[in-house]
Amino acid sequence: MTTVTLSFKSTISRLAGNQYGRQVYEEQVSSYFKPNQPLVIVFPDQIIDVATSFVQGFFKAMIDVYGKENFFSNIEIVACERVKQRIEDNL
Amino acid sequence: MNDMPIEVVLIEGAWWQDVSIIISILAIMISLFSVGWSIFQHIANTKSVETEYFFNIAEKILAEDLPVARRHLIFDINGCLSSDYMKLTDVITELRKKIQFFYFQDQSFYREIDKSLIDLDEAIIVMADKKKVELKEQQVFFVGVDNQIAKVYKKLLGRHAGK
Repeated sequence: MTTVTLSFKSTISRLAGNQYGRQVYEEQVSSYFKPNQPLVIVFPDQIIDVATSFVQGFFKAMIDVYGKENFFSNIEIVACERVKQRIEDNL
Repeated sequence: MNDMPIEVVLIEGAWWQDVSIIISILAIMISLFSVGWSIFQHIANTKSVETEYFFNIAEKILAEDLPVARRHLIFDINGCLSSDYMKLTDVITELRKKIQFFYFQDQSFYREIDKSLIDLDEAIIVMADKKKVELKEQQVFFVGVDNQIAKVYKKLLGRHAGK
């Protein structure tokens, strides 16, 4: 199982923007993402909230592969409760 | 005096032929208008019934939760958006779930409303991540949020009115 720990500038505590989400995915996740191989994505503790737009941009490539139905059986999210809930609600 | 029989001669190309053509055209136009009006009324009624149903399932959010959560959108003394902003983004998420009803009725309408809500959510999160926001910027932010909320209500209520 591959684990990717995301990193952000220390001043950032909330993530927003569809384009920014895609950019973070491309720069930090895409090379580790292999369809049908479980992946753990770790949001650092500094991230306390995420906007719907970021969630949609960041997870788009993974949703395209798994669909919402099979997403959580292949991708594990490690983050604070708020971020996890926002991701679940807004995928 | 003998009564003389009146002889009526229809002359081809006389004025009454023009009148009958005009009346025929008017009749066709009225028929077409009636059909068009019936279709328009049907569409308007269908939209109204759909939206009536939507308002039944989302009434509390629109009439109560959203306005109340909006009031919690405040900046603290340090110029940071209070963490209570989450109440509003949570209500926006709930409303996004409710409008999925329209996804199966009218996808373009659904996407339009959904985009407005996602934009609003993003604007709030972006502002929440800023430190020491100046008063002027706070005011611009509040106006933007209120306009965006008003836009969503207008679209939903406009559809309710059959527009």
